[in-house]
Amino acid sequence: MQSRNAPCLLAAFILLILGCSDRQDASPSAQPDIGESRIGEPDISGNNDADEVKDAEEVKDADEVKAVNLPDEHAPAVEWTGITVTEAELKAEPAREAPNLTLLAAGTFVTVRERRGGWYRVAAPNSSGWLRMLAVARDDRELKTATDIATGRSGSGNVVNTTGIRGFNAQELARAEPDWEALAQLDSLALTRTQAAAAAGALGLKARAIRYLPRPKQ
Amino acid sequence: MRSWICLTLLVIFAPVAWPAESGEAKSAADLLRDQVGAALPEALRGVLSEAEEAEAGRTVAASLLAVAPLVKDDGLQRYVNEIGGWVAAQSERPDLHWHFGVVDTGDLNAFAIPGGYVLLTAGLYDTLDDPSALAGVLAHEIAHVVARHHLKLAIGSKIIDEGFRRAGAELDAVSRTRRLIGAGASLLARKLDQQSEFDADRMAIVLAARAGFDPWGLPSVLAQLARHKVDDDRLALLFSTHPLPSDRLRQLGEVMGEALAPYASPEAGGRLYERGVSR
Repeated sequence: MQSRNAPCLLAAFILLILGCSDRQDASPSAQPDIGESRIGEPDISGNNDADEVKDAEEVKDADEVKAVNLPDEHAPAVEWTGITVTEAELKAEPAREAPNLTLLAAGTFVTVRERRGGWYRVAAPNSSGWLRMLAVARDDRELKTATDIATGRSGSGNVVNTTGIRGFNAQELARAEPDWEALAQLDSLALTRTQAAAAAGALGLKARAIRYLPRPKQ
Repeated sequence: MRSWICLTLLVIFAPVAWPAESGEAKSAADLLRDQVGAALPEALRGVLSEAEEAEAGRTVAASLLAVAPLVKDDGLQRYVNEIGGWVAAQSERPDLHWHFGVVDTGDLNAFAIPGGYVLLTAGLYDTLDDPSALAGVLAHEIAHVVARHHLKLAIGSKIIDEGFRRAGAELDAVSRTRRLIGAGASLLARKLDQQSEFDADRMAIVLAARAGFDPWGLPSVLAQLARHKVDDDRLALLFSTHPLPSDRLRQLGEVMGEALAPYASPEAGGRLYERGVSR
């Protein structure tokens, strides 16, 4: 939908130079190690209502996991330009314990080739490997708006200000008088639980029982 | 009866809360939350009923709508109610009267309002890539409502603000609620403690995954937000009320490893509803 931009071309150029050397990084070791990362951990904090987790019986067995993960393996190849938003370790394989190839600074452009679980196989400026998805943003759509904002221009899409209403601020929110008519309209849009479930079913969504993740150890 | 509960609460909390007033940087509410921990959610039930919570939420939601009206696109509003309703059904408060809506502003933000109202801005909607990203954003707000984060903040600081003198004992339900949530939609401009935000993120990725979405939807939105300048006007309120997106990503990185990999579902929910150009 959005046109690619200069960094994308640059990354593509770098890729050309690198050739296909990254192919060999597509290691077969992407199966999640479910034995180690237990989904059935107790809850996050011990001090909120969400602690009463619904479903305990849900540590998936290995075969099931494999099946769930399959679509990734067969996903059509897509390539797009990403940018690292935090410092990120480029790994030899899509696993936390895999060897580090190099440390990429925040703001490094990469070409994303493939996704597996929570990892992207990428071509970075001087090497190729796997990055955690959490470290990578899509570059294509956002740069456009960010540039517009940075330069104060209103871009072709006029994304800066579409309505004349902008910039929530605390005073404005505190001064606001309730608009009950608007609320009635919002209320009228509500769906029942059954309706939402039917809509989700039509979209092919199925509920899965998963426990909350515990707080990380500080 | 309820007034006695309030009074009892004050007696319990006061010795913990008082030192905060003798002033260091950490807010009194934060200190209270840190120290009282598990006691607060239980206490909350005695202070504010579900009906009162819903009533408080209606005022806040109606006030926000006065500032930013609903986008005039019934298809869009129905769509967010479908996705949001389905995600909320996977939470610990599935039977709350959940309402979802997109409000017409270029700001990038989303709001959790007590009682089950969740509103996100058109500006944020337009940055979303797929249904999992939408589900993740809504799930973060649903998590705040489920865990009653905003009410805990309001009650925690009110208990301290009012002290023994007022005790809240003589107030009727309506004025007590009003005092708790403040004027208009001011509740939404208040900053929760960082831990509540990190907790909501961690709950959100699981809620989205429970609903069949890709758990990496919310992180993909955070990664997009991380690209914005900190002084971007459209994110001023979001950045003043939340930890930086990069910090939130780092926190998620601590826990979001192989455990959720089996639930990766990049194509979940098909394509995102495309918002009409004319509004």
